[in-house]
Amino acid sequence: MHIKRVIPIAFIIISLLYIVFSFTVEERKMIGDVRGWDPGSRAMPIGIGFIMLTASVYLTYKERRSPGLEEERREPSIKRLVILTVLLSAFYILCFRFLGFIISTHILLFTLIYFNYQQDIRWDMIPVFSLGLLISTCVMVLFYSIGRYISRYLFLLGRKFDIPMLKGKIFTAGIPFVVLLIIFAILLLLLRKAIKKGKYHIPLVAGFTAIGATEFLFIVFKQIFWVSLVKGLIFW
Amino acid sequence: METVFSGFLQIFNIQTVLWIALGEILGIILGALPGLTATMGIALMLPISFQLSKATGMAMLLGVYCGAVSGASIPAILLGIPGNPNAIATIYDGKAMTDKGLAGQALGGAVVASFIGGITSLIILALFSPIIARFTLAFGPAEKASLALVGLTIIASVSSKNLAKGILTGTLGLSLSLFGTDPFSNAVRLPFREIFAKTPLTSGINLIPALIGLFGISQALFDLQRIKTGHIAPPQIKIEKIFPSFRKIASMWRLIIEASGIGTLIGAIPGTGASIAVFLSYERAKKITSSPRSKLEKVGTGCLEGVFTPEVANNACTGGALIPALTLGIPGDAATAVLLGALLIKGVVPGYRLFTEEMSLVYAIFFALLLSNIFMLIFQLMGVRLFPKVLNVPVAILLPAILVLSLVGSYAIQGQAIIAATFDMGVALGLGILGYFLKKADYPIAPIVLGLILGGMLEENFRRAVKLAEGNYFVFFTKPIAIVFIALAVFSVALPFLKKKK
Repeated sequence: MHIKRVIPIAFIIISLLYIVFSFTVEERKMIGDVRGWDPGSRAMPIGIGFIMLTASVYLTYKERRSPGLEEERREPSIKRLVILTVLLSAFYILCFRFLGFIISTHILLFTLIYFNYQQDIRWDMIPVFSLGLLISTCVMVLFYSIGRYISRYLFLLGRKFDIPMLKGKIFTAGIPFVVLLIIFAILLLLLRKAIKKGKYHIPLVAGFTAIGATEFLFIVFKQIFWVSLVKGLIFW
Repeated sequence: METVFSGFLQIFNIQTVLWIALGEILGIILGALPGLTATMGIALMLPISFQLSKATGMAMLLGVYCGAVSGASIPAILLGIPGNPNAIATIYDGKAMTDKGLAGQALGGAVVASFIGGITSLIILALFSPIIARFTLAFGPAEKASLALVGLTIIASVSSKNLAKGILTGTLGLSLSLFGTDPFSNAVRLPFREIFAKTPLTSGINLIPALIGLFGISQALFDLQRIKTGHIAPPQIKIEKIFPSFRKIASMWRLIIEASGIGTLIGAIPGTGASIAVFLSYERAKKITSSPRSKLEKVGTGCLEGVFTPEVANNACTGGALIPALTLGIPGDAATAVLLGALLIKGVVPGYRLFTEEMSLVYAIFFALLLSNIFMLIFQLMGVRLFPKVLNVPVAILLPAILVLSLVGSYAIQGQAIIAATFDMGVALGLGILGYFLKKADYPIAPIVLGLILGGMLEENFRRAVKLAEGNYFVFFTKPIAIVFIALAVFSVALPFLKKKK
């Protein structure tokens, strides 16, 4: 069935469930409303539920009558990529706390870039993908460790000799960023031919992009804005 | 005067100026990438703005907004593909100019036009918003509830060709906004209370993850269909003589004035958006230039006039859309809905109080918009050869990057509370998937956002108004301002039918 016909039907179900929920909401009035003039906590949800139901019934009726709505012919490979993206994102959220920010973000990025580049998902791609992911994850952990070591060393140095500049964000985030950028650029330069074309072109592009993007996000959110990004498996 | 100076200082410091510059560059890049909208750009940058001060955060988002609106002209002119729907009218003459070998003039003209449109609308915003804000003093609960209703009905009516679809998504947004707790008694209002009362859902659906999901994740999923077509590299074009002559600009004075007026006015009407403004002004320009007395080149033949007019109107919408957002709390378009969300999250309530208690912030917003427009002019003219190169970024890399930024951004909002933050990522993903299916079925997303923003305002004021009227539900028809708003709401609902009849 065409999605334009599915959506209104789905909305009918959602509205019915919402109306049922609205009637089960505990009826509460405003504090001090002795006379009961306040319409109460159920009024709006019930009203909205019925408007939603009316609109979805009307749309269902209208879409059923509209001719020429054939099943959309979307390439199966695109469908597979959409499903992979959704499943992998769900996996990312579920495993975020266990695997930690660095590993989970890197896996998500590498996998999506790899298969998006291939424009499909097939079994024969899995060996190269797995090997690429493994190597790339190891390099990612190495990058993180170098950055982390530099930040910590600078911070400790700042504390030991009481140099406020070394304890500040600009140095603890900026210097590791510059060092990692230099290493990243050297690696890119060394592997430039393989990245441009060749058998391992796609895993290399996926790996480099995933490492660069993950480390960049880590520096921005963790080291500049102090967001508590979970360490997970990388406990150091 | 003190507040003006305080607003000035909040923007003209190194940190804020750098954030505006960064936002501007990001905005131009996002705007230049076909399919990526200003709304998505602002939604993606919300988590970063959340970490900054009110003024700096808003300034950065305004930078993204101005940059993205103006950057959309780059692919429209070079490839004939609009960066977003607001640049569609720029294609006609812009692409024709590129085909004639005048890409540089077209790009330069578009930038200057964007600047003129942006500045004109800023002046109108600065002049009129305090007056409108003062007018809101007369608003009681009945007026506020009717105002929220107007905002919702207008956006539901205008954002889609099908009114029912707009109403459906608008009510979906409202229904989502009511989850959490009752605003007056704090009683939990959730299905399966025993289970969900222990989750972060008790405080309702957070606006930022919802916006990121609806605009960022849904777009990343939707654009996967572009994977096969990949990126379309811009043709090798000689770009020279970028800046249009002052005489040429001066000769277009009538087009500029009309386009600025149309853009600001249309932008200020909630829900209408720039795409209507650009077509209206383009049509006006066609009429003006086809007159035998006109000394201008005929719009539609690949001339600067045809690029200038829609770009002035497009950017004039930026200031116009901020007028109802800052004064009434009703956003002019989807992008300002996200900007409004950023303000609300920071605890800033639009309306009269904003214009009295936090006037320095209002001035800071005006100065930020001014600086954003100046930066837009400088960066786009400097990078007229550089920015078209972003069209080379492969979709295969771009989409995963948007997805990850959306998820991590949703997490960062409550980044110190890991469970709540992880939950926010789930909300973003869930709404992203919902947005993806809705987009596929041609349902508008903007009414959901407006429903989410206005739901609380509508319920609280509706209940308060009825209670103050001693249980009289017809109270809304006894207050003149509320009657005007209700009439507007009815008119906006009837508008599609009236159009059909015509």
